[in-house]
Parts: sequence; structure tokens; C-alpha cells
Amino acid sequence: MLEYIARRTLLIIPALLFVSIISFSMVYLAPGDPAEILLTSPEGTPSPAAVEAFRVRMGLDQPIYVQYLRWLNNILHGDFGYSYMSERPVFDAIFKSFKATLKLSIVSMFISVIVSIPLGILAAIKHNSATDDLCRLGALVGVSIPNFWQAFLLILLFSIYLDWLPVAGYGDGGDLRHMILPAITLGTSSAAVTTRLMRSSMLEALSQDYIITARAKGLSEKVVVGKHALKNALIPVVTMLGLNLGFLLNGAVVTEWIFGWPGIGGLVVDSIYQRDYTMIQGSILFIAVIFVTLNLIVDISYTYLDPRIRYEAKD
Amino acid sequence: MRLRTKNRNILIGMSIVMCLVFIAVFAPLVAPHDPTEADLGARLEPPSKEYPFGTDHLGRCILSRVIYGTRVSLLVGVTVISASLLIGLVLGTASGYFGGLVDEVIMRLVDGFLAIPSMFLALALAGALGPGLTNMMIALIAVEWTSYARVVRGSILSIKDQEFVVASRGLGAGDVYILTRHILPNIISPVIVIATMGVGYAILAAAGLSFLGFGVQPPTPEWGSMLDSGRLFLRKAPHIMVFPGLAIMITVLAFNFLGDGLRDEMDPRFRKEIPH
Amino acid sequence: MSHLEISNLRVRFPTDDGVVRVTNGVDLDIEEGENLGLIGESGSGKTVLGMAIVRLLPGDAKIEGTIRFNGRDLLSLNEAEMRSIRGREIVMILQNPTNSLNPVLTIGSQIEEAVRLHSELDKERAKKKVVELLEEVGIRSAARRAKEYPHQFSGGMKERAMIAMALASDPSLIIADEPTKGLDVTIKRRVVKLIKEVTKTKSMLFITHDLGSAAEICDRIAVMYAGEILEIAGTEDLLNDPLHPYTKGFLDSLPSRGLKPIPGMGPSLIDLPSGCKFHPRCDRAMKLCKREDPPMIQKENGRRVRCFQYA
Repeated sequence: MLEYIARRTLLIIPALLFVSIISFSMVYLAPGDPAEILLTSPEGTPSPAAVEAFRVRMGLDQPIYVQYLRWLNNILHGDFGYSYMSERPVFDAIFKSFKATLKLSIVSMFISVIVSIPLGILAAIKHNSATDDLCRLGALVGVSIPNFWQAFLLILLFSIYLDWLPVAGYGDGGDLRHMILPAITLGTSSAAVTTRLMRSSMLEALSQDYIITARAKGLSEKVVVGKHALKNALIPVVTMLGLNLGFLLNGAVVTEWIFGWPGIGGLVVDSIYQRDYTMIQGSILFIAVIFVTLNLIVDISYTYLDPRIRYEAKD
Repeated sequence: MRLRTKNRNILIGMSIVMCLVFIAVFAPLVAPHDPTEADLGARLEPPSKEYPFGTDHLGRCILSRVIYGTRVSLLVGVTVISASLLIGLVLGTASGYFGGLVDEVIMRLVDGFLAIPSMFLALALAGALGPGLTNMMIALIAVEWTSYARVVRGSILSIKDQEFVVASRGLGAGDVYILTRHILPNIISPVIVIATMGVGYAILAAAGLSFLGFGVQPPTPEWGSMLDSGRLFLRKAPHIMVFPGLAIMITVLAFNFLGDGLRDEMDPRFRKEIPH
Repeated sequence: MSHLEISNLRVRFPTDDGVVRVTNGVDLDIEEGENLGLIGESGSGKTVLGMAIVRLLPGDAKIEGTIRFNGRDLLSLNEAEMRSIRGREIVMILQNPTNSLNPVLTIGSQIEEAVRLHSELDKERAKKKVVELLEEVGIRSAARRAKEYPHQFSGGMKERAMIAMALASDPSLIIADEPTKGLDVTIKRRVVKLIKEVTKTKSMLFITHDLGSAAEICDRIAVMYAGEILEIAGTEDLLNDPLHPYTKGFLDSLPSRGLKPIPGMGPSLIDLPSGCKFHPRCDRAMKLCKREDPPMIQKENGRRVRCFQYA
């Protein structure tokens, strides 16, 4: 078991190495010379001398592998370089926006959990009833609705027609009023996925023989469902919640951009628009590290949540 | 009699998909207007008899654009998933069947791709390659193929040591024969289920990329980019946003219904049991 | 008044392929303190019969007839009334302890639940009682093992834990469904001994396809086939002088008696044969057997048999 965890942890290294190559080479996937493109302004093409000076300053005159190794070496020492555009340290910008993303994700997660777990349980208990059908339909709609569209519907209703909430922005350090709409938008698909998983996991648990044992003891249905079935059914759901936190990052891209939330998703979109390559490289690598670490934690925690696997861990 | 849910889901999903395919194929016959024809005298008009879904900021018929948009979305969805499926099938099969170093290399590659959240990877690739339909599809394939490779590999691992495969090998059957005759037919059903849902997901992701300006470029009618251009007129003409978004949702929903129904149909766990 | 009296019990399940008739007019009675064996092949309806008594069948099951326990008709009780009997006065030991114990709860807590539900003991005393129960069913270092999870127990140990759980409320009737299934011979022998021991002062319906275990434990044995009771007799009588052709065939098919299987297969419960359910496989079948359902015929010693031969 320890061996599994060790192997699982070590495997992160090649994956992240691969990610570093991918994110680094983004610059060279694009057609054209990055220095020239970056220096091109509305006033016209830059002078060859200016381009050359920029290349030397940014180290773009070196062979690619030298650039890569230097970049990687710097990153391993915590230096993500400077933004091509603002010339601010990349890491500071990433870290600051990641905090905003984390804040939004946690609130989204909270909303999605308080909606989805009860709905999933309800659907499972009322299996094959109209309630169940409605929950399943709602969950399907939830994963099918484009979040950028949903965002506009919410803005239209709550900000424009009802004028209850601000259209967009971070407000006073990301206050609740500014957070509600983006958090709902971001949490919808996660809620939908969790509802479905909770439902099927609960149905699976309720069909087990130990449920009959629990009923045969004379336990009330509340205890049978709320204790015996739920304890088993929650194991995959809790695991999935960890993964969902990672998938929330996906939704953050569009959601943050629309709501002007200063998170890492919006940062990446803007950096791509501006061809701010050091920022793109740094953010992609940073997100990958977060994502991979999260998945690792989920994997390991899974083995400890389930006593059957936990037991094997002792061997 | 009440239809069983699984059949009902397949039925609903299938009918909507059929309708969409029909609309896409016969778009010129179904659409009331030319989707790119701008009527500058009728800009941002709300739905009317002439323009059932209204017009956009250039006075183009939104209904016609939504109808033509079906073509791009279905094309992207089906192309991306077919290509991902093919890559996943080849690499997943090689990985699961041969094992050893081949498996190790392929799985590390998969790990690498999966290490970046899919929307970020697609966005970064689409951004790096530059806007356009083909580049967007390449970016989406790069994101999608890994799940097929994993599912195929997993299914093959679970099946390759089963008795009928071992017996076949004992009778002198070769690798190709065993793969095509015994293994592939057995892994096809989980693959069909995730591919069906994958089409919906690819359409959703493509619309997102186009919305951000990394996919299909105007004036080609595409749902995501229609939403993007409607963004600025949200207060004045909300109908521009409503219909393309609805079209995306219904299309994705249809594929999800279909995939959901197929899964229930193929998953023996949902069959009824009587105590014995 | 019998302790348990089942009359004309019919259980049906509607399915997509047709109505499955699992029990077809079962009459059974268990006297106070008696151990009744219920023998039959798998698919004969014996588990469903057991589950019907404690009313744990799935919601779509159609149940008719009467089940009187101490004179009360269980089928007419509401769920709350039923719960006060189920687990307290009648307990059921389900087959397959591996699946019947909750994998994420400790053995001790699962037994404790049963203890506390049916007594006024506080947590401390309940825990003590759990250890006593585990000791009673022969589990060593019970206090430590109570804190373990089901997968840490062997098959025989899990069966013992199930029995301990059944004894928690000191019930007057135990329904044991195949408690010896899947156990190897020596462990089976010990479990049988334990069951015999703990049911000395209780009534029991012992459901099994293992005649050896039934013979060891039971006072009387009923033979079930295709949802009907074909023969009931005292254990000695049944083993030494089986009356029904099916009982004879069943005995002859045992390894100790020649391993001669009954030709043919058990009938489909959706499309049951007319007349005697066993006639297609019976070597003594007459025309009458095909046409008419044989009645239950009373014989000496309180024996009963459902066969025209004895009419």
C-alpha cells in the first residue's frame, strides 16, 4: 500500500515534466516570431534593432533547449520570470489570482454540495418516481447547459431585470454580493455531476444485502438510509468532490472572464489575448501542479476512507 | 403502460439528434434567410413574423444563423470524437494488450495530458495555434483522446486474461485475430457510451472556445461566437443571447440523454433481481 | 395456538417477462420451541418465504394469505407495528454474511445497534452486552474483535457474528436462511452445533438445501418445490421413510446415498406446469397428476404429503 502511494507520487514527476515542455513550447507553436509579435503595436512594426534588443533581454536569442532548461531551472528556484506585458513578476500575479479562484471555487463547491447531496439521496429513495425523474432531468440539464450562457441568463435576471446583484467585478476584495452569480454558474455542473453520483451510489448501497440486515434488525427507515446506506454511498461521492474541485478550474476559465473575477482562469484568457507568454507558461504549469496534487490527495484519501482498503494498507 | 426510463432516454435523445442532423443537412431549405446576409435597416430587432428569433447587431436573421450553426457544431462534435476515439483505440489497445514498456510510455503520455485541466489545455493550444476551425478541433482532440485510451486499456486489461481469450491463444490464434475477434467486440459498449456523451461535451467545449474567440471566426454562423457578439447587447437585445445558448443546451442534452440511456441499457447492474 | 402459522401464502413478483409465482399456497406451522427445517433446491422459494414472514420483500411483491405469529396476522400490521416485532421477537439471519454485514461499520457497532434498539441499556452496558454475545457465539478476544470490520473476519466468524446479532434482542423465533452455505465441513459442523445450542429455548425456521445440517438441528422438516410444500414430517420419519417421490429423489441425489440426480430441471416460476408441479420429472406420474393439483394428505404421526399416491 505504501508502495502504491510512493509510486503514485513519483509518477507526478514525469507528468509535470511533460507539462513543463508543453507549456514552454506554446510560444513556438504559434506562427511568427514572438518578439516581433509582442513588439508590434498600433504604431506599426518595430525596428529590427528593437526586436533584437528585446530578444536578448528576454533570452529569446538562445537555442530553444537552453531557454527551456534555464526557464525550468528558474521555476524550480521559485522564479517564474516577468510578464512580457506588465513586467511584473509572473508568480505574484498567478498566486494572487489563484487565491481569488480558490475563494470562488470553495463557495461554488459549498453551494453545489448543499444542493446535490440531498437531491441525490431524495432521487434514490424515491427511485423511479416523478421526483426521481425530475432530479435526473435537472442533473442532465445541469451538465448540458453552457456556463457562459447560464452566466448571461443569471446576469439578465438578477442584475438587469431585478437589479439585485452587480453585473460583474470583484467588489470589495471579492465580497459575497459579487460572488453569488459566478459561484452559482461555476457550481452548476459540479452540482449536477454530484447529484447523479450520489443517486447512483445510494441506489447501489440500498440494493445491498446489508440493508436488508439493517431492516431485519427492526431499524427505522431513517437509520437504514441515513446511516447504513449513506455511510457506504458517500465514499465515492467524497472522492469525487475532491476531483470536482479540480474540474471547477475548467469552468473558471469562462466564468471568471465573464464576471471579471480576477482569478487564474480569467488571467490565462487575458494572457493569451495579449500573447503574454511568460504568464501563459507560468499559469499552465502552476495549474497543472495544483491539479495533479489535488488528484493525488484524492487518490490517497480514498484508500483511507474505505475500511476495506485501509485494512490492506496495514499489510 | 409507462415506458421504462432507459428506453425513454434513448428515444428522446435519438429523436432530437435525428432532428438536428436533418436541420444541418437541409439547412438551406429550412432557414428562412441567408445566414450571412446583413439587413442594416433591421438591426437588433426582437422576434417577429419575418425574423422569428429576431436579428443581431448586423441585422442578420438569428433563426437562420442558429440553423446553420447546427452544421458547425455537429461537424466539430463528430470529428473531434471520431479522431479521439481512433487515437484512443489504437494507443489504448497497444497499451493494454502488449503491456510492458509500450504500456508505460503510453500511460505516462496520458498522465501528462491529464495533468492540465482540459479547458486550460484546449485554450492554451487553441491560443497558440491561432484561431480557426481546424486548430480548434486539434486542440479539442488533444484534450479528448486520453479518456478513450484509458477506458480501452482498462477494458482490455480486464478481459485479456479471461478464459475464452486464453483458450483462443492456446488454440494458436495470433494477436490480431484475438484482438479483432475476441477483445474489441467486448469493449465496444463502454466506448460507445462515453463517445456519445463525448460528442455533447466536445460541442460544449467548442462553443466555449468560439465564445472566447479561439474557434470558428465570424461571419461563419456558430453558436458560441454568436453568444460572444450578443454579449455587448445584453441590455438592449437579450434575444441575441437566448436562442444560440438554447440550441447548444438542447444539442448537448440530446447526446447526454442518449448516452445515459445507452449506459442504463448496457449496465447489467440495473437489471431486476429477485431474492432466491 | 402455534407459535407461527402460515396459511395459503402466495407471493408473486410482476416482471417484464411475466408474473413470477414464487410461493403457491404454502401452509406451515411452527410450535413453540420447535425447530422446523425448510429444505429445497435454490429457486424453490424458500428464501422468499422467510423474507415474507418478516415482511422484507421488495415493494413490488404481491403477498396473499395469512401469517399468524402468536395469533397476530403479520400481514395486516402497519410498518411501525411490524418494526416492533421484526428484530425483536422474530429475527432473520440472512444468507451470505459477507454481503449481509455492513462493510464500513465495525462488527461491534452493528451488534450494538440491535442491542440498543430493543433494550433500555445505555451505551456502556450495551457494549458490554455485545462482548458477551460475541463470547456466547464462541468468538475469542471478543472485546478486541468487536472493534474490527467485517472483512477482517473469516467466513465462519462472520456467520457467528450474524448469529450474535440475532441473539441480541433475545427473540422467540429465528429465521435462519442458509447459515451454513459456503462454509467448509469442519466450520460448518461447529456453526451447526452453535445454532443448535443457542436455539434450544427458541423456535426456528431453518432454511437450507443441506439436509445433513437440517437433520442435526431440526425436529421436523418441510420439503419445498416450485413454491409448494410437498411433504412435512418428523426428521427421523422423513429421512428413513420419505413418502413423496421428490423427497425420495432428493435423498437419493445426496452424495451419501448414491448421488443419483433427479432427471430434468426445476420448472420456470413464470410458466408453472399444470397439476402437480413435480409431475414432469416424476417417474410415478399418472394422468391425474398432470390434470389436477394434488391435495395435502394427512398421514400417521402428523405427517403430511402432497401426492395422489397416498390419496
